Amino acid sequence: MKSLRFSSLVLLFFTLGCVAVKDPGTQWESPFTGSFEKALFKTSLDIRENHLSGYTLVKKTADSTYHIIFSNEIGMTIYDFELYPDRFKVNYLFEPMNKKVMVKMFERDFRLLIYGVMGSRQNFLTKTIILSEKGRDTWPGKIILTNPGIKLKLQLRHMTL
Amino acid sequence: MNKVLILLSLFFGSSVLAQQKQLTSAEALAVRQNVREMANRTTSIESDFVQEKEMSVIAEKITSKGKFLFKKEKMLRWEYISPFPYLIIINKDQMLVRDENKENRMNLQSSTVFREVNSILMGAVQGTLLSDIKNFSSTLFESKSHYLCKLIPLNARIKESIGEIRLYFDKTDFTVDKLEMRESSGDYTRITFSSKKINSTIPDEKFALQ
Repeated sequence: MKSLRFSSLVLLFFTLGCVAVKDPGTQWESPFTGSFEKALFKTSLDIRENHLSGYTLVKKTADSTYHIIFSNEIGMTIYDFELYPDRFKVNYLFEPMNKKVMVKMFERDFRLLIYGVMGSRQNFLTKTIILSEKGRDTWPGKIILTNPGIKLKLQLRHMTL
Repeated sequence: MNKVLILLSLFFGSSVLAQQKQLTSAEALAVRQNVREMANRTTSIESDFVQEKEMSVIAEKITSKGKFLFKKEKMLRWEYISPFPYLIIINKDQMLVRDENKENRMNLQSSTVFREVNSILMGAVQGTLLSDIKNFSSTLFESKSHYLCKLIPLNARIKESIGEIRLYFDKTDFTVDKLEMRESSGDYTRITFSSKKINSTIPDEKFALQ
């Protein structure tokens, strides 16, 4: 039952650098735009053999400007980003992850997720899956970002704030 | 009040200075002594807690709740109940972390970071961190209901993630009522303990790594 519901709930599934594949009859529209204010997600992040978990808060701080903060269960910040249409500011990134390639990847993934805009063809490694429960609300229940190049999997599960 | 204090209060808001008074070195010494004695008398702590992660820049917070158990020597069970279950058990040199999907076991002796985090945790819940002069510089303040100890890490690596730790001690029994971990960004995590029971009998099984 669950798996049936799950598979029928796939609203969007697209691979960057390729053509966006949409579920027939659905329209790609980022839930973070429009009247969006903020959202909280239960988060798990796997990078290679490391597993991190906690909560991600996404808040729109101005027109098309977003603050994205991920902290673990005990409250320690893992990353704190500001996303603008034309730039990406790293306020904090947990030291072992603070590498250029990681920053680039996070920028790419969040830009795609939040603005719903596909990046350049260099992004071919990133895959974003957005699962939404039809009929319940328009907010996707689960968002999965994967990047096999650096063995990363970021899972966001929407929570009530 | 001298000129410097007036100037400071203009910058930082007078309420902070009005509510907290820095202790003299003699008073601070007495508080340290009392905290040490209380920690020595403590064989176990059992408490509920509320944790608030304050994201000051965007004026948001995330609240979680749980239960905490401590037993000498070096046994700790830190369990979040809401919004999602998450469990940390430390038993001597072994640590278990369990979230909804994964379970991780670590030997605390295997890494310097784990050792440091472990010793901060153990020191924070017992209050003995205020005597850890090797790793922290500390200053003591007093408010109506609490003694407040502000701890600044001396180790650069710890400083990177924790800018300051604040321990609030109950003025009557010198146990830790509240704990704050401040990050350099200005965000902080506040943990408030309630329904505290000191020296109750806690079975060792609560700290079993199963």
